[in-house]
Amino acid sequence: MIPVRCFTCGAVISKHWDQYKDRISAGEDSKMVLDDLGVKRYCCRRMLLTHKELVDIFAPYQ
Amino acid sequence: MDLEFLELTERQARFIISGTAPAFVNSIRRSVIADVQSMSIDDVNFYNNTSVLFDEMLALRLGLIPLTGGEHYVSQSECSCDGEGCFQCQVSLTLNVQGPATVYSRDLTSADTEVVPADGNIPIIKLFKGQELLLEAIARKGSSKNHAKFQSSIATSYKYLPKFSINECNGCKECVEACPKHIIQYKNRSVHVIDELQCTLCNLCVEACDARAITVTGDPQSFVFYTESDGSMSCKDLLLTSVESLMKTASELAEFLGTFA
Repeated sequence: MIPVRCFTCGAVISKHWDQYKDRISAGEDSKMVLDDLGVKRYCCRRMLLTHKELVDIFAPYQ
Repeated sequence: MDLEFLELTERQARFIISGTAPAFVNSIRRSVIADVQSMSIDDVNFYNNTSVLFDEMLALRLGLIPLTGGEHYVSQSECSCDGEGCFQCQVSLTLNVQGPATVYSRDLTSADTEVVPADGNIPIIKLFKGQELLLEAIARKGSSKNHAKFQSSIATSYKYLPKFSINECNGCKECVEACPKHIIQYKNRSVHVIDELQCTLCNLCVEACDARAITVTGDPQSFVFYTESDGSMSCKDLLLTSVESLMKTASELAEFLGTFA
């Protein structure tokens, strides 16, 4: 799951995750999406940019 | 002392404070970070959790969700109930979701309609078929001196107000290239600064200029102050509460010093 807040500054970034994920999978450019969502600082941007969702991979081995 | 607001919204504030000293502005910054109390989930009772995350990890995620409307509550240590927990110092939020579904912060049902998650679309956990989450979360008021989850302000900072002076520019445009914020433009045979406030005082333009035409200084008496709110309160309330607390501390100090006079 996406961390609730940015590790560095504490801004709530997880609220953008669904929209970010949908728009990236629709083929939009990450830079444009992050700018559009108002994620300005690079600490927050890396949270969304580098996140790998593992829940779906873990689930079958529960 | 002068105050000029450049931006004041629910979640963001930027203002210029002038005619003062760094120590004073820093005390405001520290007060905004540490003296403002807010509500956060502090204790979680799990009744059923068959999700892929452990109870502890879910509790940690729940704690980080900003909650609104904690003005009327007191912290448990200062409450008249002596820390037992009552309607003045704690709020219960329940969560009951069956999979398959993604649990969001909006699924939390609060006993107080004012104390609710500031953002409803924070994903908590993805539940698959047959998985269930049933819990009761207790939110309390606290200070960021005890835990960062109680901190309402984000990226609270200030800088000296940047001041540019450009004399005898030879039009080499080196500084236009050098500026990481792209705020220097070449127009009418000289360079111009478009937005001085964006300058971070990095001095790269000064170093790039062979003609030594640019000087950038920070005004030691004026500051650009910036803060963001996590949504638990508006930026206006955030600043007012912190300044009130600062004034209270100052008057307490004055009173204490008065005892020696």
